[in-house]
Amino acid sequence: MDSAGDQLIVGADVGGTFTDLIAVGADGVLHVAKVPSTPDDPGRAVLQGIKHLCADLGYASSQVALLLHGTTVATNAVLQRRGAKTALLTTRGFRDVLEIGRQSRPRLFDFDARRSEPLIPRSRRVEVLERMEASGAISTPLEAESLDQAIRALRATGAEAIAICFLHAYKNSTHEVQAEQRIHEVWPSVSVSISSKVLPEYREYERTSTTAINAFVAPVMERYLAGLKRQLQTEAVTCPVQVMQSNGGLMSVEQAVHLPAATVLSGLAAGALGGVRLAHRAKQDVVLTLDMGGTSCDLALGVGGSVPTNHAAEVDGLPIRLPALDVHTIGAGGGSIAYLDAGAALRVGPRSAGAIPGPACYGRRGTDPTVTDANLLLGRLSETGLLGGKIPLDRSRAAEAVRRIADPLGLSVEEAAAGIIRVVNAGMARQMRVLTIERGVDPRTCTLVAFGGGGPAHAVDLARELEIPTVIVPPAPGVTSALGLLLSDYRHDRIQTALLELDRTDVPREAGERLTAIYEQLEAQVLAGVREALKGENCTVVRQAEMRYIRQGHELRVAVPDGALDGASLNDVLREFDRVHAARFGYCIPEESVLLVNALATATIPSSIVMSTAISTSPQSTVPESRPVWFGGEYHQAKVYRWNALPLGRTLCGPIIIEQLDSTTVIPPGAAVGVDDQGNLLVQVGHR
Amino acid sequence: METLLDHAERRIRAAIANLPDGQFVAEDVLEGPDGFVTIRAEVEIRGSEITADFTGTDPELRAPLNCRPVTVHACLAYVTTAMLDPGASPNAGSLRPLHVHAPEGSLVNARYPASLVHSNIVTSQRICDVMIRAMFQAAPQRTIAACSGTQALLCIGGQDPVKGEPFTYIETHGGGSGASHHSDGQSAVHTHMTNTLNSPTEVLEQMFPFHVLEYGLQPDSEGAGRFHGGLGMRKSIRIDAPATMTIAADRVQSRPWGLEGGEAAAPAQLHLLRNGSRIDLKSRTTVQVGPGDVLTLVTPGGGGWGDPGDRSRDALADDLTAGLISQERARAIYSCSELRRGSGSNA
Repeated sequence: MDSAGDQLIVGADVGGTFTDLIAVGADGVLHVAKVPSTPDDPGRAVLQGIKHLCADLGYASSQVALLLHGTTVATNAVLQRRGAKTALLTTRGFRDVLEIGRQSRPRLFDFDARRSEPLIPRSRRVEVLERMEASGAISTPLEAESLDQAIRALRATGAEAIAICFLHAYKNSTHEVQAEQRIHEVWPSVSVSISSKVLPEYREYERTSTTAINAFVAPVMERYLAGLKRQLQTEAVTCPVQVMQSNGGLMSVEQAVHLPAATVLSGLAAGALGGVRLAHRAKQDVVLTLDMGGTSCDLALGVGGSVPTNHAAEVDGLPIRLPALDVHTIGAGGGSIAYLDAGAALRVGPRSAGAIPGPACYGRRGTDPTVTDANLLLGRLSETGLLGGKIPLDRSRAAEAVRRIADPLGLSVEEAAAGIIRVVNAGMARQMRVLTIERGVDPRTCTLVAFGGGGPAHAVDLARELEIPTVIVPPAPGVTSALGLLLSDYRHDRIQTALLELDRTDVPREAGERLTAIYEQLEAQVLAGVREALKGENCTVVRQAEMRYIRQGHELRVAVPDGALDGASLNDVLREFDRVHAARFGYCIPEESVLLVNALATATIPSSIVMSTAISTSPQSTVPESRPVWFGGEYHQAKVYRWNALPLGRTLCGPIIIEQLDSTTVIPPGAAVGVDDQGNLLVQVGHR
Repeated sequence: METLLDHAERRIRAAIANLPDGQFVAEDVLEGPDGFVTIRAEVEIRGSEITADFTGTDPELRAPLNCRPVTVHACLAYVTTAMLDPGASPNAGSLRPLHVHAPEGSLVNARYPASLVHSNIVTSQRICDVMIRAMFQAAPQRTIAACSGTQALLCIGGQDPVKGEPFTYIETHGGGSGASHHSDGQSAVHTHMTNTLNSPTEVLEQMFPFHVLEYGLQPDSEGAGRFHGGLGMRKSIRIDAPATMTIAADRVQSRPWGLEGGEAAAPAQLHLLRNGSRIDLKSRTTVQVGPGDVLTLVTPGGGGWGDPGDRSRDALADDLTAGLISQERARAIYSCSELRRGSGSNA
């Protein structure tokens, strides 16, 4: 291949076991690499993957023009509590906000239910005398002397990162900024996160928690990205690096260093977005994604090529109020363990055999029956094993494990294995109903996009359960997250608490002016944000508001028009709120005053990467093998195809098993499958 | 549907059957209008059934603490599930092996027109404590020491002088949870028959003529023990309007007990600061408050488990570093002599 003048764009997604990479050159063809992750220094695997790809494609590594990066460094720092030693500076009298939380416990019927430990222990939570009123007025000024005294107390904790969160700082940030500046003057080496910059939204616990998470992961993220850059430079990769956020958009490395908390849930975002955007390219508008791995299964609903954003996420029980794509995770994966509970009911998960010891059939000392064991016993997985035989599967060990639940239930091993599949599918189907029927979306209008190692084996059964007519399996189901990076936009979000009361009879001009000023400031911030990542012209800004009827406790999100807001346009916003309220709750109160709680703005620049989506392969034309596979209570002889030996342009009828490097697609009797021009499997699920 | 009910019943019966048969008695008190009121329960475990008999409980009161048997049933269902099968999805099937005997005319089976107002927020918490204490004798390692024992309800209503509108505020407050044989209780948390969220200070001050001076943990309020109970909550509010304030709490005169040598926790404290002088309040009271009055509400801690002298010195050092327990208390109650501040792992 002559590629001397070409440039390569690389997406690199770091997972727990593998680091997946996808590269696209000037011809638009995608190339895939999968290398083992290096958890001690995740950047090493990224570099190895880039070297692999370049060597395979005949590119020099200096031809890499852009690296899009999905990283779980911040996520893992929180989950494993391995972030920076962090201290908190807060208003006198409120040191324990982070510990009391919302005073609730996570499970009702459990004496051992424990709230998550705060990231900052009480001994490192320092108070300072200062106070803002709810109006933003200063009732107790922050005196230089007490600030310096508090800074000395912070230094005495030995912290390497500081979170600052003062009461009502969303309204008036003067004291927080004053404290930040003073710390920079007298203690320049420490990393500082302040709540009025991280999240200027009211409700002190959630704001403090989000700011604490940011402070806790900031030094870790900074070290990681600096190290990555150094490693890349040793291989002459000097291109810009952009980082995936939880909101499904990319940001610059510099932004990632300042707001690393925005990446904490990014691991879920890239996969869901990849699935939704692939389906959108295949002309599917309403899409459910099913990403089933070894331990868990991520599900999301996408409409028109995007996934809705959720502002009330949690990580490890700690609230994080930064926008994240609305992806639901349940404990259902290939390694999920099946057991009989005290009432002799068959249960599956959330406990997982993980990669070590792994399912019983891996022969690595695992003895509990898992979903993978059940799939193997029923002939859905090949005994040749996973990853092209690198992990052979032992059918007799699987049978031995499943017999432990089959015998007490008086079932054959196959019947018990089919029961395990039904139970794990029931959990996923329940979550699919939450995402569709419970939100007024008819699953019969949806397409199910299945990926991850396990998704394609379970997808048709699940689609039939919800009467979803079509399943799409992308060409490389095991690297959909990496592909999602190439399909992501540049995005920047910002929120500001406004707490503006809008009276129906008389929306004052002053309210319109105040709101206009808030939105103009937000717009300037988000525009500067995306343009820092990419100097694009094609930038859109969307305004939204979170509103509620006066005296309600929960907000709904409503679109807000551009430009200056006056009485007429605010009346339009109020009517739109009534409409959204009626759509969600079945009624509205058109005469009731409305509280505009938060103003939000989002700027996006769409991705301009040209790609064909088809994965480069070396087609093999082999005659399909066949093997017995258990469907509907008996064995059927199913044809077994290699994915890259599938005949193009033909429709094949189940039962069929389609095998590829990192995934197996199961097509039961009654379903039919074809391959589209993008390399997707399109399955018409038919009937049982 | 019937399958699900039967399954839940099988699960809870299997768990009950693992307990030793027998009759186990416990009692505790509430603060009534004329002194302590006794709640007594005899919990009988026989095979896969549990019967809670409240014979010996004091008669119904001319005070809003009475309750109906339905509340007692709910408490028994909660205690049984939490003790024996925390992972269960309880339904009507899991209630089948549970029985309540509540003598008519007693505090737990009051007749019309006895007041039930605080049945759910005060009396139910004590019913749980009493049944757990009884079942401690059957399965000590599945129980916990007494929790704060009151939801500490605070209700303030009046006229907002700035907005020119009437307002009503109501909130319940968490306290310490009881320690168990393997861990400390939690601090400032809702326990047993409630789990409502708090009102953030920033929301309170937006909506009401209040200024919150303090919202945190109350040091030294834990029931001492090898594992100590959780700490109570301390909240001070300045009320900037003429208003009527009602408090419905308990455990001002009694204390949440410990188990296996663990000590009782600190009781609740309720007082008003008016023009510099302190007015102590009773556990249930209605008072007029004026602009500038400061209410301080401290909820009880949770009871401890085991001898405080046996507490791990590392854990105690952490408590000291965090400022949860004072040096004086560590010396007096936890027999601590050699500890230095800052020697804990949190330092």
